[in-house]
Amino acid sequence: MASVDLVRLDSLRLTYGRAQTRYATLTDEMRAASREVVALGRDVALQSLLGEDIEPAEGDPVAAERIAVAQRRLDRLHAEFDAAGRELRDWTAYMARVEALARRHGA
Amino acid sequence: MKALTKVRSDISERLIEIRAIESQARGRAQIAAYVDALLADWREQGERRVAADINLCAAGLPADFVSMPVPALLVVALGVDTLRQTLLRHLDTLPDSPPPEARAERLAALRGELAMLEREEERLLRDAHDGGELTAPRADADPAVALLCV
Repeated sequence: MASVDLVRLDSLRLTYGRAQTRYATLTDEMRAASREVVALGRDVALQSLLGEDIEPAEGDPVAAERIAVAQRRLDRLHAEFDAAGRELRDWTAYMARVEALARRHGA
Repeated sequence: MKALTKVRSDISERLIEIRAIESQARGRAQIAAYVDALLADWREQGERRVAADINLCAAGLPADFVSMPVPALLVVALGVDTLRQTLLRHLDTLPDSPPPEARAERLAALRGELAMLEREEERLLRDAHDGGELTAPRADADPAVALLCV
């Protein structure tokens, strides 16, 4: 009867755990980046509303650039997050069958 | 990563062909032969029934010549060729499939290639994981390839 490669089983569990952690980290990073974009936009909007002597957002190239940089970072994180989500779904489906097979073989 | 993508593409091609072969148990020739066997059976039933009714009629007994199973009646009424043409009118739309022996041979070859490719995929994944990458296994990959040692 075939036996389970315990070293590989451990390696798969470990890598799966790291993929889960990576996904959670990306989720946090994306939330933070999203909050940053919203906060930057809100600050600019507030400044435009409150201070007559403050230029509106369209006229503030520094603020506009900061928002654009934050938005680009958010877009990049979003793409990474989507890819990591797809990978994690594959991991989860695969690991369910790995664990079932390992149990059947007494590992 | 490039090597893994290539291996997975090769695996996908094999799986598609295996599923196509498995889902079509009969090729055009086998379907035509199957229908011909049915038609021969129905014709025999029909002819026997018509002959019996003629004998009944000759003996002065009631006979309606149509009380028989519908397929037999269709053969008697339309003739084998017309009915065959009607039944097989969609045959050409089917992809052709090799004869059973060739199918079994092709399936065995494909499964052999698939097993080899899956082992190569697992080797590449191991290298990636050992190198700290998080590359996911295929969701439908056979876990036995990674886990079981004979």
